[in-house]
Amino acid sequence: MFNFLANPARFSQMADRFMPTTAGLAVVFLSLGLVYALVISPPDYQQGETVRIMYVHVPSAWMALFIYSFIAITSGIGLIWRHPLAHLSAQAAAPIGITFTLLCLTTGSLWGKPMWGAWWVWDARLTSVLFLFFLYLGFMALNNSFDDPARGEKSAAILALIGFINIPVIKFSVDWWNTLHQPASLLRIGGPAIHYSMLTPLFLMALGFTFVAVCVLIIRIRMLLLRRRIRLIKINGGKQQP
Amino acid sequence: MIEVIREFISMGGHAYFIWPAYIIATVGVLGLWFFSAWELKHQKHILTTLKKGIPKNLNRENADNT
Repeated sequence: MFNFLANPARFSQMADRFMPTTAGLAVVFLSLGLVYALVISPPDYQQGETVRIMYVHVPSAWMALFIYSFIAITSGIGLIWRHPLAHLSAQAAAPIGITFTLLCLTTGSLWGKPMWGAWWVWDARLTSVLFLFFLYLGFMALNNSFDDPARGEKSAAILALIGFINIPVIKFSVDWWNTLHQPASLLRIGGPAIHYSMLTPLFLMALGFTFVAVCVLIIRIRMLLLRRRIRLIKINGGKQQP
Repeated sequence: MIEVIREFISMGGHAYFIWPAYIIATVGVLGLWFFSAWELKHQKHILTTLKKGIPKNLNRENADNT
């Protein structure tokens, strides 16, 4: 499958075929998710209506972590097997990941103020997510800071792999240190601690965000493939590559 | 009916926190999608221009940016 998609023309063909379905699923899940999140789901017995921020905050956080993991894996594949689309995929995913990290931080801040009485606290979870934001920034900066794109890709890939250590730190920060954040309430021994009426909008929004991320990833990979092709044409003095 | 809508908008007195969170998320997600689509369209335009073999200075300028 990976080798099959290595051909840019084949990738574009596949992307064209899957794009309408993926975009449609994103719209369906997000629409359903918003109705559930804002209208159907009940207020929390302790947090009241502010719990509704969870339905955008938590899926954003999941996406920020998943996309960084994707970047680390594709960077590893790029460094070890030199797969033609690996570094490109990582480069395409970075702006998506940084957007979701920023959404996670801002919506978290908007949730923190009415619940904790502060927009920001320097606890382990918030600080490690902020560090993730800077990792994304560094990855994107390194990719664009060399004249030779291959050197930029390699340096950024090494940073992505080193920064991957931050992912378990974010996940387990609520268990390892004292924090204002609640402990894990979904992936825990004994099953989820959240009622299904709140789990439904949470998963619907998460699925919606996932399909959005896949759509944008496809668009960005195609854009980077075109950019690479344009660069080659220009290097060859206007002659097209076969 | 108006009372129900007013109650929904006020979000139990937390409207100033809940609505901005949803607006920021919507703007972020849509902005990311549309900006990426615009970038793809822009690269397609450059490629078409290059294939036609016109404005060489424009092409060089774009090469520096890539």
